[in-house]
Amino acid sequence: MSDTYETKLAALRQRFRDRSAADSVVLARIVADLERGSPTAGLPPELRRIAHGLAGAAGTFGFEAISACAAELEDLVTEVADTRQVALACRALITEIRLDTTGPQFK
Amino acid sequence: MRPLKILYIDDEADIREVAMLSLELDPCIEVRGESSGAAGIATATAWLPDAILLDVMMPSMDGPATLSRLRTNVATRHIPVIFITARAQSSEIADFFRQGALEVITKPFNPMTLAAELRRKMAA
Repeated sequence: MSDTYETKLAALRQRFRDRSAADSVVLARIVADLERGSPTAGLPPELRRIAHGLAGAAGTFGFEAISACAAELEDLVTEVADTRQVALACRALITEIRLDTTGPQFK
Repeated sequence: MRPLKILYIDDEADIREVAMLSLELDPCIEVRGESSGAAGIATATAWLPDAILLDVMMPSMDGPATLSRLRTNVATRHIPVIFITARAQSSEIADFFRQGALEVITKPFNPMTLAAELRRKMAA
């Protein structure tokens, strides 16, 4: 494998890591809104966009746990599940993002 | 030998760039990327790729709508399209084939084997 490929891939992984961290901040805000609001209130459209994006991208960059949590969240959002379930799934995803992208296993 | 021309259409920049980087590992593949269905159709019409890798879920014009437009365009109607999707339930995959997709690749994909997987799907 060429150094160029490895270097470019590392840069893309770092960008993904930064993007995940930014997404987790948005998710935390959404959780706070959901927990303040009615359980049947509508879900913000950005929630599905974030879940879908992370579900597809995270696994490709080697963050399988984030990908699995994001896919579960996307399913819940698509099914218009109870907002309490969605908030729990958001919290699980935020935790995985923090563990996977800031922990010692990140290379 | 003429390189295989692959057009990758995906609104997710992270995925698009890693896919393009990975496909370029194959010296016999020339790849271009676009971030929307509309831009992808324009490039496909002008560049005439050998195959198109097309994300299913995109804003404004999604993958199936893009495929439908490609099929009504004389210049692009023959180009094989392989859907890329993170949501791959069997009923959805069946729909993709009915819509005219050649194959389906699921996200997340392994960047190291994407080119080989693409070649396998195109040969199937």
